[in-house]
Amino acid sequence: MSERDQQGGQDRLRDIERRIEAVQDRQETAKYRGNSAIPAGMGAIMGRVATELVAGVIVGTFIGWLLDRWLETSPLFLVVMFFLGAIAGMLNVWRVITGRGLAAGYFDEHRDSSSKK
Amino acid sequence: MANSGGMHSPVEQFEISKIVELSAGGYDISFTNSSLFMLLAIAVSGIFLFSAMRKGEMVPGRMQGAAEMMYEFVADMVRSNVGNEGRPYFPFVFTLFVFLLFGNMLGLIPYSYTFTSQIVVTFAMAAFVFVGVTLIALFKHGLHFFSFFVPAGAPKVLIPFLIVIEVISYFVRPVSLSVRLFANMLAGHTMLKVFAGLAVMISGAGGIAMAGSLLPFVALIGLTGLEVLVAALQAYVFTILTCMYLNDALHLH
Repeated sequence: MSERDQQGGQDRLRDIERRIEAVQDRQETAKYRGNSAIPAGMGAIMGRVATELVAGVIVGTFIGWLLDRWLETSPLFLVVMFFLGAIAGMLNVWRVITGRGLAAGYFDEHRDSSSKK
Repeated sequence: MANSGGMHSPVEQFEISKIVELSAGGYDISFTNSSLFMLLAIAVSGIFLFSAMRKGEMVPGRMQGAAEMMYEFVADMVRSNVGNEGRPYFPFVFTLFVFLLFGNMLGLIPYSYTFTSQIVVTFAMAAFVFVGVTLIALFKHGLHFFSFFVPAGAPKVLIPFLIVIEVISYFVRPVSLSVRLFANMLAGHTMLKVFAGLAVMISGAGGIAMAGSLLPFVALIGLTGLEVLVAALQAYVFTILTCMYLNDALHLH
C-alpha cells in the first residue's frame, strides 16, 4: 500500500467520524425535554393566544349552563362559571407565554419547591 | 350575500353538498364533498408514502427523501416531547399529522374543499385526542390522576376555587385545539376568496380602472404563499399539542 493510499484512507476515516458525530449531535437535540413547557419561540409559532381566552370563556359558560339545567339554579352557575372560565383562559395564556406547560393544571416551580422540602 | 354581477360569496366554498344521499337510523350519513376530500387526503397520502418507500433505497431519491423527512420530523417531535414512553403512540401521531397536512394542502387547490375548515371535523379529532389522553392517564395513574387538578403550594382557602379553574382549563384543551385549526383555515380561505373576488370585480370596471385589479391580485399571490405556510404550521401545532397532552398524561407531575 502506498503512502498516498494510506493518507486517503485516514482522511476518509476522519470524514466518517465527523459524520457520525453530526448524526449523534442531531439525536442529542431530539432528546426528551421532560416537561410540557413550550420552548422559547414556540409561543409565537402557536400564535393566536386569543383562542385560549375565548375557549376558556366558552367552556366555562357551557359548564355553567349544564350545571344550571341540572340543578335548576339558572342563572347562578352560568354567571359564576363565565367569570371562572375567563380566569381559566387567562391562566392558560399566562402558562403558554411563560413556558409553564399547556392548559395543564399545575405550577411547576411550586411542585419543585414543595418536593425539595 | 347578493350576487352582484355573477360574483360568488367568499363563504360559498364552505358549503357542504351531498354527493350520495344516505341515512341510517334517522341519522343523515350522506357522502358529502367533505367526506370525499377526507378520503382523498387518505388516498393521496397513502399513495405518496407507499410509492415513495416502495424501493427503500439506501440512498433515498427525492420522493423517498421527502417521506423519510416527514417520518423523522414526527419521530423527533414524539421523542423530544413525550420521550421513550411515547413510542407506542407514534403511529397515531404520525397518522394525525399526515392526515391534517394533506387535508390542509389539498384544500388549497382551487375548486377543492377544505374539510379542516369545519369545526365538526376538527372538534371530533380534538375530542378523540382529549378522551384518549384522559383514558391513558386514568389507566396509567388511576385515581392519582385527579391530583393533576390540585395546584401544589396554593393557600388552603383558595384550593376549592382553584380546582374549579383547573378543571375548566383542562376542558378547554379540546376546544382551543379544534378552534385554533378551524379558525385559521376558515379565516385564511375566506381571505383568499375575498381578494380574488376583489380582483375580478375591479377588472370588471373596464378601461384604465382595470389596472387597479393588479393590486389585489399581487396580494393574492402573497397570501396564497402564506396560506401554504399556515396549512403546514397548523398541522404541526395540532400534532405537537397532542404530543404535549400525551406527555402530561404519561408523566403526571
